[in-house]
Amino acid sequence: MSGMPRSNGGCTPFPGRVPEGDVVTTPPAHAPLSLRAHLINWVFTPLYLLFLFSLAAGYIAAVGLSNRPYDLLLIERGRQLAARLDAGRPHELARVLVQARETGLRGAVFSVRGTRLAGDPALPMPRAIDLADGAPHLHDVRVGQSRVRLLTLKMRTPGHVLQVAEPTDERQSLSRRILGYIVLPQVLIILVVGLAMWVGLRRGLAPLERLRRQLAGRPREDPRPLDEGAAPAEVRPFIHEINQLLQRLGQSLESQRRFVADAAHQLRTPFAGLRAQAELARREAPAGPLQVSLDRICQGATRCSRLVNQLLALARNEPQRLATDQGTVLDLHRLARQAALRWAPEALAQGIDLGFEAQARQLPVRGNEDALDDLLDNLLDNAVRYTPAGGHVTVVLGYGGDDGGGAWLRVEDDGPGIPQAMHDKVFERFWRMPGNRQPGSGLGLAIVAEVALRHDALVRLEPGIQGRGVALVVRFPHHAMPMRAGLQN
Amino acid sequence: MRLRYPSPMRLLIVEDDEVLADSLVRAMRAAGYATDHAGDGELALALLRDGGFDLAILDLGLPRLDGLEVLRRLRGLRLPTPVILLTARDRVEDRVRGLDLGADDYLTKPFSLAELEARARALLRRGQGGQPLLCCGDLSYDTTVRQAFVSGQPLELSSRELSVLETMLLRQGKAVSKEALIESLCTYGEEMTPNAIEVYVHRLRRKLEPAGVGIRTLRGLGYLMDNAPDAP
Repeated sequence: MSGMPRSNGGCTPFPGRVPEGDVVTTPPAHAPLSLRAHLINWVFTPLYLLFLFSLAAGYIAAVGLSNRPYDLLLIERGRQLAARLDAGRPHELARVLVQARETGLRGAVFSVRGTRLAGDPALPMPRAIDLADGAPHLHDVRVGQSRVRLLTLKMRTPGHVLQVAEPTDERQSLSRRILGYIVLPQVLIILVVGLAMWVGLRRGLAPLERLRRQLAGRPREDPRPLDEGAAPAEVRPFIHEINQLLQRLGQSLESQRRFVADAAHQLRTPFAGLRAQAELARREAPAGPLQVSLDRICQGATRCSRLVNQLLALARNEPQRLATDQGTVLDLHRLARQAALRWAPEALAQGIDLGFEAQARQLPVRGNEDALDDLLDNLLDNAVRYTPAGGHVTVVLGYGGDDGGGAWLRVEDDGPGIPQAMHDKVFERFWRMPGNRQPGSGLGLAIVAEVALRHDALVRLEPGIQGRGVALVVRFPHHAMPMRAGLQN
Repeated sequence: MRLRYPSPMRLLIVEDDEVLADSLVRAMRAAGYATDHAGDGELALALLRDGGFDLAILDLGLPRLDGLEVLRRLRGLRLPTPVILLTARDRVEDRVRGLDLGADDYLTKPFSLAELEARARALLRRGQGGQPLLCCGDLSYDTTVRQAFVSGQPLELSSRELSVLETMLLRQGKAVSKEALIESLCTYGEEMTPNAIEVYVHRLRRKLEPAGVGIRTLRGLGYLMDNAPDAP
C-alpha cells in the first residue's frame, strides 16, 4: 500500500451507482429493433419504388405527348412539300428541296426501287416496311451527328417516295420540360415526407427518451412510478405495466427491509439476555477452561449484537425509505466529535492513538442524524478494528474543496491498507478481505456506502496517514442543496 | 469504583424477557442492591406507585402497558424515582422521546452489564445528593471536602487541578472533551484557553502517576482517565 499514488489511489466511482452484479443485461442476439429504422424502411422503400415507376411513366408520357403535335405538323409539312414536288417538273425537284431546307426540313426524293433522285445525300433510303401502304410513316433515325425524325411519304407522282427529316431538339426540350414538371413535385414530396417523419419521430420518441433519463438518473432501488402522462398514448400501457412492476418490486423491497428490521429488533432482546447471562457467568466462574469458554461466549454474543445492529442500520438506510425525507441541517463537526469520543475508550484499549482534526468549528450537512451516526460509527469501527496496536487513526474534517462541495470527512489510519484491486469490493455487503482474521461482518463499509448514497455524498478510498494505510473520504454536497433522493421528479 | 451505603438501595427491574430479566436481577443483587422484578407494565406501575424504589430499570416493549406509558403515568403521579430506559430501538428521536417523558438515562440493547451497572451507580449517586467518595486505582477523592488521597495519604492539589480531577473522575474510562474541562473551570470567571488546560492536565498527570492513574491524551478531542498506567 505504501507509495500508492494519490491520483489513482481512490478514484473509485461511488459504489452505489454501479449496477448490481445480479442484474445482467444480455446483449440481444439479433439486431436491435429500431422503431425509426422500421418506419423508414416501410415508408421509404415503397415511396422510392413508386418514385421510380412514376419517373418511367412520366418519361414515356412526356415523350409521347411532345411527339404527337410535332409529328402531325411534320406530316402536314411533308404533304405540302410533296404536293409542291408533284406539281413541279422533274428537274425542279432539287430546287424545291433546297428551298425546303430553309424552313428547317431536310428532304430527299427516292424512286420506289431505292434510287436517290434528288435532295439531301445524308438521308437514308426509305425502308421497305414504310412503303407497304400509302400512309405516311415516322421513325427516329441518326443522321450524321444529330438525331432526326424521319417521315416517309409516298408522292402522287408514281414511283416517287419523299423522305423528310426534322431535327428532334425542340421536341426533346419539350419532353424534358414536361418530365421536369412531373419529377420536381415528387422529389419535393419525398423530401417533405422525410422531414416530417424525422421531426415526428423525434417528437414522438422524445417523451420516451425523457422517461429513460428519468429512470437512469434515479437512485438505486427507487421504486417510484414513472410519469405515465408523459408517454405517448401507444406506449402508455407499457409504462403502466412497468409501474405496476415497480410497485410490486417496491412492496417486496419494503417488506424485505421491514423483515430485516423486525428480525434485527426482535433479536436484540435475546442477544442482550445471552450477553448479560454470559457476562454474569464469567464473573462467577473460577479461572480455567470454563472461564475461557465463557469469555468466548461473551465475545460471540458481542459479535452477534454488533451484526444485528449493523443489519438494522443497513435496513434503516435502504434508499427507498427516503422519498419524503428531506433531512435537516446538522453539524458534522458535533456528530463526528461525539462519535470520536464514543470510540476513544475502545481505541485506547486497542493501543491505538485516536485523533481528531477539524478545519472549522461548524460544518453544516443536510441529512439524518441516525444515519450519519451509523456512517461515523462504522467508519471508526472499521479503522479501529483493522489498525494494529501502536497505530494511528485520525478523523479529519473540512468544508468545501475544488469541486465547491460541502463538508467532508476523512477517517485515515496507518494500518495494513487495502490493495488497489480490492477498492471496488470493500463496499459490497458481507465482503471481507481475503486472509482477514479480525472478527467482522463485512457490513460496515456497505452501511457507509448506503448512508453516503442517501446523502448524495461520495465515498472514496485514498492512501492513509503519510501514504500508508487507508483513508475513507466522504464528501457531502453543499448543505443548501436539497436531498436528491427526496425530490419528486 | 467501590460504593459504600448504609442500607441497601432498592431497584426494580421491569423486563418481560425472562433470560435478560434473570441476568439483570442477579447482577444487581450481586452488586448489593435489593432488587425486585416485574414482567409487565401494569405490575411495574403498581409496584412503583407504592414507592420505596431508588431506581427503576424499565424496558420499553412491555406487555399490557408500554414502557413509555408506564413512565408517563409515573411522572404524571409526580413520582421522582430515577428511571433507566432499556430499548431495542436506537434512533435519536426514540431517545429524545424517552428523555422528554422524564427518563434519566437510556441504554440500547444489547448492552454490557458493566455499562448498566455504571449508569445505575451514577443515578443512585445523584439521588443521594452526590457520591461522597470517587475512586480510581489507588486514588480516592472525597467530593464533600474536595480532598484527594493516594493510598490514604492526602495529595496536594490546587483548586483548578481539583476541578479537572473531579470532572475526569466522574467520567473515568470515558473520553472527556477539552470543552467539558474548560466548562468545569468556568466558575473561576476567567477565560480558559485549551493551552491552559493542557498545563493543568500535565501537572495532574505527574501527580497521579504514583497512584496508578493514567490520563491519556486524545489528539484534538480531550482526555481519558483510567487506572492503567500511561502509555508513553
